[in-house]
Amino acid sequence: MTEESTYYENLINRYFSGEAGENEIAELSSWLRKSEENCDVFTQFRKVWHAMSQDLIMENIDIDEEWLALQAKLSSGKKIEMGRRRTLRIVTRIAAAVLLILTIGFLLRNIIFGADKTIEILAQNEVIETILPDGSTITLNAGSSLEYPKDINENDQRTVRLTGEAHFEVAHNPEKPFIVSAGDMRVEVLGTSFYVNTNGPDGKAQVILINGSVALYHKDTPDKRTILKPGEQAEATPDKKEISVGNTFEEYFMVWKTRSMSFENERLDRVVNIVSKAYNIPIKLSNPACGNCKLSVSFEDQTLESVLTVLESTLDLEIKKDGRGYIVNGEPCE
Amino acid sequence: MALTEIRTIQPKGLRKDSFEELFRKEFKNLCVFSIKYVKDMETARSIVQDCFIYIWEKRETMDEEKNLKSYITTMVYNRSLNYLRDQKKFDRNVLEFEGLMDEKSQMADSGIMTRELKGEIQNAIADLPEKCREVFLLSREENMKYKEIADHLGISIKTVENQMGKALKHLRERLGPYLPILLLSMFPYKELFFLLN
Repeated sequence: MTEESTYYENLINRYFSGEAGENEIAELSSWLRKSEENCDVFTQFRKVWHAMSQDLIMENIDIDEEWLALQAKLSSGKKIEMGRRRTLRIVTRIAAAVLLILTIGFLLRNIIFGADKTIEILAQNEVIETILPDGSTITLNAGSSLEYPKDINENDQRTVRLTGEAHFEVAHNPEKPFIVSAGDMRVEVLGTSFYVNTNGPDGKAQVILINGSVALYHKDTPDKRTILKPGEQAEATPDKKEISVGNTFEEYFMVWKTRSMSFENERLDRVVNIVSKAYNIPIKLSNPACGNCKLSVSFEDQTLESVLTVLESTLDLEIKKDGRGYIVNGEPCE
Repeated sequence: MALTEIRTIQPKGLRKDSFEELFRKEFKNLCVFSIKYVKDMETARSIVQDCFIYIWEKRETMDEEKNLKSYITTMVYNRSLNYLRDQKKFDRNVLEFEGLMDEKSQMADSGIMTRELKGEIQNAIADLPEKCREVFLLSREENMKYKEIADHLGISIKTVENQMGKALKHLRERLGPYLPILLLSMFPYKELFFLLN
């Protein structure tokens, strides 16, 4: 190979790799005009480069990712509207606000979350505790999932989407409200500890405040706020825009996270129900009548096996494996 | 709520499912089409993305019956050429030698790639000497300029150039038998800038 031909081959490669500038392209252009032979050389390179470009695209472009990227660009106009509403809230100076809006539909999903690349955490079979990039700690019950944008720290709001049950310990950051989206409902906080369940009793959405302060409202009536105090529960029924507040709620609402139970002369059927919830395992009484037996016992994050052994020996029961769960055999109490 | 209306009201022209179908079917083909002009995957990707966004934003005036594929192809073609012109890399003579001044002939062969050729490209790249492959992949997949590759690997630009030459020589030998025998399309200049954006 002569030095000259190496020179032009390098020029051709620079051209095809996008390296060549204006002058080099002009040089290539006039070289091509010089002879048929030059054109043939160029054609050989062209075929290889074109085939490789095609291969490059086919191998490296992920159509699902591209579709998501497109969705994100298309919805950027909608984000502005959200931002405007948020500014209004800040103006009204309601700190530590919790907005809770429940829906039965999935409409908000793409609108709020389709805008950014999201990460989904799915607690498939067990309770998962995870720390988000902003420092907030989320405990997800089994079967629940949480989505959050990859760049949660770069956004003005920390927006996450919950399906199922979770406990939130939100890292304090008054600049960036933390918003939990549960269907149509939203919980907005600046830093506090609370519980959300999108699958509450009778399909209600529940929020229980552990500490801090939160405000709740339905998305359609943002001016009608309900302020929740620690130890209070709010419930919203699907289709209704009202939020009811009370302080009576299931004592063991967080048992799936804590696995801490302390029973004082409690009925067996209730104990079994709570243990079942704590370990996310179905436990049945073979004879429902034996649920009337009472016992006093405490458990502190023990294994399921040891809990069952204690129950067996306390009430003289027989607990057997039954499919994925357990079945409790025993006699009713007098 | 304004946000939900966007989803519930059916747009008059192009429907979302048809749009998505077109996107999923043609996105990569259009990138292959564009990269031949712009020589760089990221640029090709963003040109094609922008064209789809344009189509979606104008969906009410888009007729589903109309040949959207050829419409968007022309748009990608024009934007690719515009890019070259903006970068001062537009040279009609070279593009003609490359067979790129006629969009129709190009689209006809995009998307067609035999399995043998595809496998052979991977094999041929894998068989490159290590240093040579590294340089080649940085240029091709990481989209780095010769200067960046040189800095990254702590070698001279001259060495980068030599390694690229070596890689291409090897690839030409290996891929030659698999490549389609295409006649150079030396079509006279066509008025294809009518859709300039």
